[in-house]
Formats: sequence, C-alpha cells, structure tokens
Amino acid sequence: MVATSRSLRDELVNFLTYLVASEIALYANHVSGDGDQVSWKAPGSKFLEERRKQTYANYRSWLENGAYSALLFDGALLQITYRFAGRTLIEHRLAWVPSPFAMDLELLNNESPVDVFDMYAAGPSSDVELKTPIHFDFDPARAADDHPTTHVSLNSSDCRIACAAPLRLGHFVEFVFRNFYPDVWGAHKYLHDLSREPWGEQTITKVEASQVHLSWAQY
Amino acid sequence: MSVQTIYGETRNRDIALELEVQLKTLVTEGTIYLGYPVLASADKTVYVDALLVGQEHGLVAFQLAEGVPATIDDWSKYVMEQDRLFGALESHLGRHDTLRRGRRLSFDIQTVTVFSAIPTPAPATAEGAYCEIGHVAKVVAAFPAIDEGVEKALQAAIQRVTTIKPAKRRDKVIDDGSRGAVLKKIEKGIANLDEWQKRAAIETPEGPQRVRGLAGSGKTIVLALKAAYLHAQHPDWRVAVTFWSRALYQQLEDLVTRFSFEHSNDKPDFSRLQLLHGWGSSSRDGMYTTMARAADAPPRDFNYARSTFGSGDAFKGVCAELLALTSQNPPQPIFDAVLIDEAQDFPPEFFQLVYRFTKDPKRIVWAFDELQKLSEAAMPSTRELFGTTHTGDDVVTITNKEGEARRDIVLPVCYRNSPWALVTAHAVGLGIYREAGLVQHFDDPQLWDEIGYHVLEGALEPGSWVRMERSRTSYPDFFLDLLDEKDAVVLQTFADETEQDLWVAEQIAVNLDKDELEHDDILVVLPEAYTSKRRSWRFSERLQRYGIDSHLAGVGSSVDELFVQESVAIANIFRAKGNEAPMVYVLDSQYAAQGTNQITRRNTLFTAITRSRAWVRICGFGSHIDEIAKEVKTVRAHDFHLQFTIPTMEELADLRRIHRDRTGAEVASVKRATRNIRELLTAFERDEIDLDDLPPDLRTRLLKLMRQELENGSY
Repeated sequence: MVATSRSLRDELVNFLTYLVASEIALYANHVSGDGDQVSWKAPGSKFLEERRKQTYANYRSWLENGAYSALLFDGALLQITYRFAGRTLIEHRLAWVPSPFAMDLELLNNESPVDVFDMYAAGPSSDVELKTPIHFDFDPARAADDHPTTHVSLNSSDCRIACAAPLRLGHFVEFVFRNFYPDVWGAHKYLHDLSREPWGEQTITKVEASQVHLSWAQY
Repeated sequence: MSVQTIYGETRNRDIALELEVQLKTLVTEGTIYLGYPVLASADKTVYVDALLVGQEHGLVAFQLAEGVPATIDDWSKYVMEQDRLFGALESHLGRHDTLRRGRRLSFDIQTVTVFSAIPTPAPATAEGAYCEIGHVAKVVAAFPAIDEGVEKALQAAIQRVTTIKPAKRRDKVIDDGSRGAVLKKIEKGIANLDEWQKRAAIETPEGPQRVRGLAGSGKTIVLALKAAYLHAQHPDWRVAVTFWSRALYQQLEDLVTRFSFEHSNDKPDFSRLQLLHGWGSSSRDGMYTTMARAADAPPRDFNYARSTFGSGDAFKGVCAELLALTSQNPPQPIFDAVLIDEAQDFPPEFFQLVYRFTKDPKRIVWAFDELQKLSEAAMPSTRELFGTTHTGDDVVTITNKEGEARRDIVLPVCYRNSPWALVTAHAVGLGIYREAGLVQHFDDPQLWDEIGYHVLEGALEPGSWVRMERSRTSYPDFFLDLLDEKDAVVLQTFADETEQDLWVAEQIAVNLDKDELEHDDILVVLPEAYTSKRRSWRFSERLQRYGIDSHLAGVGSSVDELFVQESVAIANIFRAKGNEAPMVYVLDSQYAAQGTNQITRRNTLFTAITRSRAWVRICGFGSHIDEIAKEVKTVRAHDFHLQFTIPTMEELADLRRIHRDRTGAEVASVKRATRNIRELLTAFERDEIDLDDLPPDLRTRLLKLMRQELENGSY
C-alpha cells in the first residue's frame, strides 16, 4: 500500500497530540507539511547540526533550538522526517536521541529543559550516561554496497545495520518504546496500534540479508 | 526659579562642592551639573568637572585643576586642556540644529579653569578664564545672559540621550488608525529619557543608592545609563551590573553599548564593565560565581544547591554559604561599583556578599520594583538587606541630604502600562473588589502615593477608607491620546478551554492580518507554570489552524530570548516576568481565584496583566472566572478608581495568616490522597480495574513517579 504525505501527516499529528496529552512527551513541535516533506516545524530553529559526530553539544543544540518532533518526559528527543515524491516514499530519518544525563523529571517539567541540561552538564562528568542515539534511515538515493537502502545506525556513523524495509511510524515507535520504555509501552495500548502496513517491497539485498540485520514478520 | 544641582561622579569632590557654593551666591536660577557630561572628541574623552546652565550667564563649563601652575610648561598644559574642553563642547552642541544660528552657535561657550591658587598670571595668549576658587563668582558674573529659548534648547541638548531603543520600523503600517500605527506613535514617545530618569542616572553618591519605581518606570534604563556613565568616567574601574532574568542580558548589552557610544564614542570594555547574571551558568560567569572565585571558594551550581538547600532556597543557600566562608577572612573587594537590577528577586545574603566584595565607599546601586510582590512584607528593608553593625546601627543608610547626590530615588512615571491596566492589575492583585475581602496589602499605605496614586477622598492611613486614582503625572500623555480605555483592558469569559482558545486564536489572527501588529508584538501568558508545556501545545494547535506559528519561550527556543521572528511567543508566568509586549493575552485567568494559596495566584495575575504595554485581554473559563470577572468589571464601574478600607496592622496580620497558612489544607490533601490510592490499589488487586481504565496522563504520571522513586531508592 502506498501512503500519502497527507495521511502520514495526520497520523503523526495524532501521535504527537497523544504523546503530549498522555504526558509521555513534555512538549512537541507542530508537524510541518509543506509539500512532500513531513517533518517538524520549529520556530527559531536555525540549522541542524551535522549528524555524523554525535556529541552532547548536538543534543544540547537540538534541545535549545527545538529541533525535534517530540521531547519525551526524560529529555529524549524523537526526530521524525519522511519525504515523498508524489505518492512514493523516497526518504526517512527516524531518530531517538536519549539525553546524556538522567535528569530530574520534575525539574524537566517545570523549568526550561536547556537550563536543566546545563545544570547537569556543569556537574561531574561521571554522570554522563553512555547512551547512543539510534536512527533509522531510508535513503535509496545513496544506496551502495556499504550503505544499505534502509539501515539503523548505532554509536558510529559508519554503523549501518541493514533493515528489511522502510519503517512505518508504528515500527519506529514500537522499537523505541518496547525496548527503551517498556513501562510506557505496557501502559499505553495506543502506541501498539499505529500504522505498520508495509511501504512496499523490501529493500534489503541478498548480501545484506546474509549478514546480521533487522527484519520483522512482514518480510 | 531656583538653582538645581545634579550631583554626578566627580573626581574632585571637595572643590566641586566649594564651586557649587560659590555659584549659588551668584545665580538665582538654572542647573549645576557636577561631573557631567562626559564628551567624546575624536581621539580622547573629555570630562566636564562642572557645568552651569542658566539664563543669567549662559553655559559655563569648569575644569577643576588638581595642581597649581608654576611654570610656563604647566600653563601650556592647562591652556591646552581648556581648549580641548571648548572644542569638545563646541562640536557636541553644534550637532543640535536648535542651538545654531546660521553656521555658528547661537551663544558663547564659556570655559573656566579653577585653581586653588594662582601664583603666576596666565599667558596673554590663553583664551578662556583662569581663576582661583574664591574668584569664581566674579568671573562668571561677567558672562552675558542668554534668552529663554536658547536655555531650554541647551538643557534639552545636555540631558538628551538620543534613543533608549531604536523604535521598530513598522514598515508594514499603512492604515493610520491601526494598532500598528498606534504603537508606532507610542514607541516614538518612549524613545527618549525623561528628566527623572536622566537625573537618577547621573546622580552618584559616595556610597549606596536605592532606585525605586513601578515596573516600566525605566529602572533598567537608569542602571544601564549609570553603568555607562561610570564606565566613561572611570574606564579603569571594575563595574558590575547584575540581574536575575536572563532575558536582560541582551537588553542591558544593547543599552550599555548605545549609552557608551553617547559618552565616549566607543564600545564599552566589557572586561571592566561586566554584565553578570546573579548566579551564572556553566558557560557564563555570574555575580555569585565571580565572587566565589575571588574568594577561592568552589562556585556551587544549581544541582548542588538544590540538593543541599532545596529548590526554593537554592540561591539563598549558596550565598549564605559563601557569606559564612568569607566572614573569617574577608576577601579583597574586587568591584568599584555594583548595580543590581531586579533587586526584589535577590535574597539579603546576596546583598551582604555584594557589600563585602565592593570597595569603599561601597558604590552599590540597587533598583527594585516596589510592588512586584504586592505585599510589602516580602520586600526586605535596607536594614534587612545589609544587616546591622556590631553596635546595632544600619550598615547602609540611604537618607537623602541637601547638597548631596540622592541616595534614595523614586521614578514616578510608569511608561509600560496604561493607567487602566495598572489599576486593574492592582485591584485584582490585592483583591480590592473581591467579595470575600482583600487578599493582601502592604504595610505602609503611603506607598500608594509613592507609586503614583492620587487620593481623592479619605486618607492613606491604616483603618481609613480611601478613594484614589492614578495621578495625572504618573503616566505619559500618549496613553490618553492614543488608547481607548475600553479597548486597553478587555475581559472575556468562556464556558470552557476550547472556546477560550478559539477566541484568542481568532483575535491573534486579526491582530496580524488587520491590526498591523507583528508576531513579536503579541505575548500569550499562561499563569500555571507546572502544566505550561502541555497547555501551550493545546493552544498552539488552535493557532496552527490560522497558519500562525508559535513557540513556548524557553522550550524549543533560545533561553535568553523570549521573542522569535514570525512566531507568537507563549510564556509561562516565570518566563513572562521581566518581559513586555504591546498586546498581551492572559489565558486561564480563573487560576487566580482557585486554590488555597491566593497570594501567589493573585500575584501571578498581577504580573500577567502588567506585561502589557498597550492592550491586555484577560481571559478565563469555568465557574471560577466569575469571581475575577466581577472584580475587573467593578474597577471599570468605579471609573478606574480604587476605593476600599485600608487594613489595620492586626487585619494585615490576619490576612497573611489566612492566605499563607496552607498546612491545614495540606494535611487534608494528604489524607484524601492516601484514601484514594488505597482504593485504587485495592481495585487493581481485585481486577476490578485495568491500567488502561485510567486516563493516559495518569498512567504516565504513575510510571514517572515509580521511576523517580525507584531511582532515589526511597520506595
């Protein structure tokens, strides 16, 4: 089934509204829907820093400039972008960026998140948590032998673990919440029922499939 | 007519004061400036030790010589200095069209160098006057008079600071009757300093000074101007300006820079003139961290402070700690002058620290908002701020004395709020027309007079009935000329949140489309900070429908800036504090009538209303808004007069007890909560309910609580 940017946009709007209303997210940005790109709209956000290096300065700059779809209650960011050409999906970037600190939830709720972050950043560096952002990219234009069309990256920008096919919102949300927020996942059935219909054919090559990769029952 | 002296920062105070005495034997009207102005010439800054401006003898500038001219070389130095003074004045004043006739100045600039003694006569070639201090009156008496028009123009030129802030261009304004056009005129009106502000900025006592005024009376501007003036006078001094709202960084930097150009034609040297947040952050030193470092004490961060002293007392705690640490071995003072803005937000310990770290004669200037908290008990006295000496005397006294720079200054004109908004804010903040009676009042009823109210009937005495209005001199003309009282303050009540939000969104759309307002002319204030992130999302969804972008200040936008281009700012009450906008929408105003802690809630509404520079819309929904609505309507029905009986001291004490005492309510709430949780858990255990039966937000809140409690090991 082919989705349109509009139906995806609607689903994302509903999803973000649910996150905010259920207090899973502290804050969300509105969905930008200009033309073929479904992403977030962050007034005042200047630019998105280079994603190759994942420093906590990146996290801070995203936090400060509102470069995210949702800011979760623990300070983690969800960045969701899909691009279409007409009715065809041509790219996605879906990222979960955890906070480098286990921040006080009450403070995060009451204060400006960047202030809270800065406060932790001023503290001992031993408090920095070793957590990696995880992003799922679908990027057929750049596909190559060492660059699977759909892949998940952990830790290093050279890490591209092949995925069977592009992810629907439901896949991404399940991956993040089932694995990293099992309590939230368990308490919110809503998250289980987001879209999972395949975008189309699988994108994984035979070679990639012979290596350790990510796949799910649809494929 | 009388002679007014403005006591600035003079290098040669004793001779300056002697000069003032001498001049006062001669002239009967006009102004004597001591240590003002500082003039920038092409390559050097020129200090004017004293200046006399009056009709009788025109403009006379004095240089107070430190030595005695003994040799020809000495003389040529003094002559050169006076010539430079003349040149700087000529070029400074020549810039003003009003002071020129044809190509020349319409009056003569007189310059005098004053010595304690003159053993040899000045060279015959020297222009200008050179005399001993005892002969000043005789010398000045010979200078010719000027006419009234020239004197007025001169005073204006000397007191003038070009602009406080560059007015917005507002190029899009086409309709002369639109709100945008009104703003354009208002902004023109406030671009210049008033006489009070200018005097307050120049007057520099040999010691501490207090500046009081309502929000919007120009305290920050006065401090910035004062800082720039001190910096120009003494470029080697270390001057600190400190404040609590981070939004002030930008504002102060702009002002100080602009004023520095005015004085010295140059950018300020920010390593000598320091703008320091009260605390500081990891990336930027503040006043507290600077003092801690100077004392070799570890600067505490908020994390440490919060876990050690609790969130509410975090800053007080770190200040008290540093104060204790430095009391045994008092550190070397590091500041020559410290200017504290938003002084009402700092704990007394901070003032005592500043006192300790400031060199004699303790040039500490603090500006505070008399009525930010509406309840004077929250506003410590000078004694409470700085403490007493071991003999029991006040460490700091701020009594004004004749013949000295004032130590206690009141700025009487409120530029920010229309008189209607201000009266409404005072009425609902104090609960003056509240059916159940006042919520709070300050101790000293005379404060009403100081903040610009005029008594029509009754008296400002405890227990006395009084009726008063904003005095005509307490607000600028443009409010009367340009605004309509009915439109300046509007109250709107609604059945529910959705109805309210839809109306406000629609109004904002009209503001942007028809009223010729810009996005950053509009501020939406959310009274409740705790829920503001989720609340703003719901409201911003309504704006989205009109294609209007918005942002919640401090979340998803830079912390130090409230306004973002092409996006409407939404701010919770803490972020809104210290900021202002022409059009303010206060959402959820019913908040002020709910709950037990009425004082805090009323203060919140007061702060929200007083953010407005021109128009305010007080909105709310549900049953509680009726209480507020009634009060707001009563204000209007009474023609924006406040009439009530001022509480006696006993009644005041009662008020504080009733509205602050929360323990009874808290105990009841713990009991109720325990009962509810027990019921809930039982229902779970009996499988009568499922987690999914709870509303989604409650589910998440339970989880978060579990997470946090488990982490703290306090389960």
